[in-house]
This record gives sequence, structure tokens and C-alpha cells, in this order.
Amino acid sequence: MNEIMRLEEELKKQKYHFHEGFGREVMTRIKAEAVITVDDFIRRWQPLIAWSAAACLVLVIGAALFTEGGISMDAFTGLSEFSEMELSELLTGI
Amino acid sequence: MKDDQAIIEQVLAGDTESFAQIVTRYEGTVATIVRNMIQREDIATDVGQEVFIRLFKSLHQFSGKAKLSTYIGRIAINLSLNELKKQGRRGMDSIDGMLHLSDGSPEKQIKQFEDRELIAGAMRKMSPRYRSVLTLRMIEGYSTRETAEILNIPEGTVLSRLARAQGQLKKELEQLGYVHNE
Repeated sequence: MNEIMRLEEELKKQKYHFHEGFGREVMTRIKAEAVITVDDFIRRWQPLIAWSAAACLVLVIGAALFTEGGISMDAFTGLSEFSEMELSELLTGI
Repeated sequence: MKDDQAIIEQVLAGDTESFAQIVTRYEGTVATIVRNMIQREDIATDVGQEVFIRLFKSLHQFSGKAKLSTYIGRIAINLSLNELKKQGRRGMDSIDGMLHLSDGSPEKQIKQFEDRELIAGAMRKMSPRYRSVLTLRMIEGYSTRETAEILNIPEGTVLSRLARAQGQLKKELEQLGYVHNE
């Protein structure tokens, strides 16, 4: 057997293993990372989520107000021209 | 035994526990790569854990074109090189009980340990580019093509680096007084 071949044989023995429990530690970290990932997602998208929620709220309120049977645009225009009593009567009449 | 792709699909479907099978299957491969590259057990263990966490996070990107072992090898080498860069030096600490010794008489084991310590010592003196080729090709048994894929270099470069690395290792071992006894 020549030198290089002998060296190759010796190199093949340079195998390592991690300590016992390594796999368990990895899995614990992975599960923790999975939780962090959800947290990260919320943190990262928090401004967008907040703005989307606000926009949805405005749309829902707007839709409720301006759909048939809701308050008509006319009720808003020139509201200041009505007295409190007239306004109350007007709104009760809707 | 389930094949890698089946396990990956299970993990991607939300069965995180199945990932433990991948960890068990490739723990030795990762340990051999990072430990030969980094040498220090504590740092190598941290890097080893990071390898599996990176793999878990990037599992959805794994296309299955390459073998999972090649993909893991690439992560392990990249993280090891990053760590070496961070340290700004080569692994300097002595080898320890992390070596996997085969069964045999205590005398045989001691001899085996001494030989391995010498080889590890010689490898420690080599540059990471040679160490990585030796680790992947000679120790872990990746093919020349897989080694080239992992290191992102042409196959010809793997072969030339391997020849140089073997020559250098032989020289280092001679300087360390390594005598092979059958």
C-alpha cells in the first residue's frame, strides 16, 4: 500500500459525532424558532396589518352608511343648517 | 426507512417532529464536516445546530434536484467558513472526546486516537480551502461532482486541490513525526 493510499485510509477514520442529546437540543431550538417565526411575521407586518384593519373598518362603516336604507349623502350635506331638534326629527324619520 | 423527500414533505405539511429523522440521519455528516473545519467542539456544536436550523428554515426552497446530503453539506461548509472568517483564525484547540473511535482493545484505541490526533493536528495547519476538500471528498466520502457542487467550484479544481491537500497533509504529518504502523 503506498503512502497516499495509507493516508486515505487514515483520513476515512476522521469521523465525528456530536454529544448525546444533540438531536433533542436541535429539535427544541427548531420548535422555539417556529414560534419566533410567527412572532416575527406579526412584528414585521404589524404596520401593514394595522393599516389594513383601519382601512377595512373605514370601508365597512362607509358601506354601512351609504348603502340603501342607510344615511343618505343628503343627510350629511348642510347638516349645520339644521337645528338640534330638526336634526333629531330628521334622523328619527329615517 | 423513509426516504429524505418523504420526510421533507411531511415536515412541510406541518409535522415538525419528523425533522428529527433528518437530524438523526445527518448528524454524523454535519459533525464530521464542521468538526474537521472548525476543530473546537463548543463552536462546532453551535455551528452544527445552526446547520439544522438553517436547513429547517430553508426546507421549502429545497427543490430535490440535488441530494439532501449535498444540500446539507453546502450549508455546513458555508457556516463553517463563516465561523472561521468570524474567528479570523484557524481552529487552534486540541482535539477532544468528540472523535468516534471504533471498538477494539484499549491499546488499539489509544493508538487510533493518537493517529487521529496527529491527522487532525496536521489538518488544522492547512488552509480552509484544502481542509474542506479533504473533509468532503476523503473523509465524508462525497463524490468529486458533489464536492464541486457543495464548494461551488469546478470538478477539475476539486481534483487539483485534493492532490495539493494530500501532498501538504503528508508533509505536515512527516513533520509531526507520524509513523504508520499496521
